[in-house]
Amino acid sequence: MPVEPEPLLIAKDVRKRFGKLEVLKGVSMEVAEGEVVGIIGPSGSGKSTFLKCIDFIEEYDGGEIRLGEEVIGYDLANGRRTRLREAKIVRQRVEIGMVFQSFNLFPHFTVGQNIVFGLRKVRGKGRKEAEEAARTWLSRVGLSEKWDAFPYQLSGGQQQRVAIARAVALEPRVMLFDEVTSALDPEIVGEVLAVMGDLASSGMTMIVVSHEMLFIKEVADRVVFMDEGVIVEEGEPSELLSHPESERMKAFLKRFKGIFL
Amino acid sequence: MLTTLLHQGLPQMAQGLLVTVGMGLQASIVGIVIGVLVGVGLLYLPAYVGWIFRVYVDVVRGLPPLVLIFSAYYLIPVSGINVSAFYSGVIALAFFSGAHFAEVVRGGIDSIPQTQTQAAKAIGLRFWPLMRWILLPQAVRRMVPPAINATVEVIKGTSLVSLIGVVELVLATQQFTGSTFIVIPAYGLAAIMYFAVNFSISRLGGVFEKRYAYLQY
Repeated sequence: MPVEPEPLLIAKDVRKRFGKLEVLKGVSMEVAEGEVVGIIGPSGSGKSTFLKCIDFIEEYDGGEIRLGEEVIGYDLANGRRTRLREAKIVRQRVEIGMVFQSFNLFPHFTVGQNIVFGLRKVRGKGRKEAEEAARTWLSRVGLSEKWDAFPYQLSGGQQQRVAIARAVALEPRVMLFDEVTSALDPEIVGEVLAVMGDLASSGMTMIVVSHEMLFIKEVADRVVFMDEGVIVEEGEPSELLSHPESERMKAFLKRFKGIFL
Repeated sequence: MLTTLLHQGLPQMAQGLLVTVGMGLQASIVGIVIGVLVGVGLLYLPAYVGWIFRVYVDVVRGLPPLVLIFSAYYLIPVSGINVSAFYSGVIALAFFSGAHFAEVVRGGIDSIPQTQTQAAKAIGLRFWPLMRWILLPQAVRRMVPPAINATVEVIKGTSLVSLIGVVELVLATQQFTGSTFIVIPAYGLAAIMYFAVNFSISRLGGVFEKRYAYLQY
């Protein structure tokens, strides 16, 4: 049997509260290099917050998230918990790409500038090199001809594809997708999922929070069901989606009856 | 009478106008710098430092500019620093407009959706680049109209430094009317001069707004 490689991303007992509300009550997860993990669950279950903690857009109050050797956001030496310096946190964030439900392109930049910006300012590439890389990624998501367009001139699906290109162009070690198709019209969802499927098959490590069960079933190596701040069940997608054990997951999947159950 | 106004009054008042504009511009520029720093501070500094900025903004906005001008004129020399009446005025008005610009900047940045900050963080941007490239350019368009207001207030506020003896437009006009007794036409001319300056500033604001009009959501 081959030796299991060390997981790329490890979350251990991650806790997060907003005031009195505990949103994450100890979430643990391991993601191997090249693995695609789908996270499903009802809204308010903590899926999005968990993703934001991984990218340290939200701070987490307990546990640890580790990317490779490094703990994200904190120094946990000697049992103490100190926030890392801004420069260090920023350097860690570059290794983690994130795409949001609301696209969040920079509206005052053209499509090209949206992608080039990070390559130059964050990755420190020269103009020519950055533009070449940006054009490559833009054509990979099928939008080469939109280089000079402003975000508001694109459809939601196109904006989201640009957002994916912007994130992936920075060559992160792991990509996080936070309900990236939830704000899109049904007939447009497919074009975004196609881009994500293409990324997955190219070996990108991905964590995908989504309500697109069919996509998760097809693309994910593993699916995780979260509810009320904990992971309730996880397993191989087609197996887990057709035979959930917990009542909570059964109830959640009810509306997909006929598709899985 | 008209010839006296044109040959004696106009040059005298033009001198005053230069002082008015010079003081207004210097005070506004310093005020904008204060405003950006304080406005960003109000938004992002932790409360235990941020409250100082809050107190500054609220106190200064609650005081008449004349009180600030007298304070600067009489208090700065007490601390042993020698400042001319002109620069007492610049300091007071910069302090005054700084508080107003701070609110303009705070409001402008605050009106940009949080998701922009999240997206910028996600690509690994640090704080000042985030300000410089993402938030301020978007906020500027919303800040222009209230910033124009604040600048015009500064120009009008300069008239108060006549009370500490700076010969700006109002005092220059007074001096002219005092020696020639040509009152109404002289003040009419002064009004036209003020209007011309402030109208130009408003137009400049319009140009800025057009410049950023491509920003659509």
